[in-house]
Amino acid sequence: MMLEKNFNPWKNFENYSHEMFSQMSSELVQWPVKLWKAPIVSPYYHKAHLLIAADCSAFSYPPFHEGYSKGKIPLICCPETDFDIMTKLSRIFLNNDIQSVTLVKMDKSCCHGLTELVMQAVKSSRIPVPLQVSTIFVDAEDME
Amino acid sequence: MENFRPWDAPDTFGKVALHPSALQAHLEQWPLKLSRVSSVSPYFHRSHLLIAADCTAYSCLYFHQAVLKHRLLTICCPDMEAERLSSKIMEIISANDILSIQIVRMDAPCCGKLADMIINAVMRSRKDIPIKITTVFAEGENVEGGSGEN
Repeated sequence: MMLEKNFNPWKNFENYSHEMFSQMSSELVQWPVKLWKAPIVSPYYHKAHLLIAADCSAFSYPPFHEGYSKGKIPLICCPETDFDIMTKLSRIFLNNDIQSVTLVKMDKSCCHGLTELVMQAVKSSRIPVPLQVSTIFVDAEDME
Repeated sequence: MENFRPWDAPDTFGKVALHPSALQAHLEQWPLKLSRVSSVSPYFHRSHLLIAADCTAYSCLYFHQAVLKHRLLTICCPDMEAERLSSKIMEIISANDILSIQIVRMDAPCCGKLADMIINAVMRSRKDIPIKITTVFAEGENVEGGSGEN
């Protein structure tokens, strides 16, 4: 895919893609999506399948919705910038009847601690909750 | 990857996806997080920036096809990172040749500062950068407030 040299974003409607006006729903059930803003107790957590995703994951994997998000309650976080991910998660697991947890993270080093945090949170809830971990690999040059 | 020399042609650097495939996101650079990305980067040179709130990809089904094409993506959470973000955005705009900025924000109040910050940064830099703002509406029920009741 070659980016057009003469890409002019301000020409009206010439580069509005059809999807921009699509009415298809993302099927988000609960708001907020961010883990640090999400409530500890919520009716949507009852018998829910949680999806804990790194912030960058949906931006890095276009079929994210069909692949991961469908039928699950997403909670997004960034292990690099967020505080107390484990505490918040433990509280959510302790106070609600969670059926399963899916973790989606990136292959980059900043996501490295996320698996451990989620596993600790699941263990501290003492309830047997199945945990699935998926890693998204991105082929982009690291310009940190 | 033979003879990859990004500094030979800085005007077109980063504009070609290296291994295009159907599932590939239209991403050129990493990191995506605005607070982590380096202020001076060859990818910013003559680029069309897309600054998106974290929640937008999860709330917008066709994010990649609708807004991401041809633009350079960075994401942030304006509520959590407000102070760091404004200085970072100022650095990026003043140090690089940005052609345009598109802001994608949620309709939630916590995204309110995002557009303000970016517009202020562009005004202060005195550069002529067109800005477009897109708002994504969240359909989930708002259970914010901790108790699950509004």
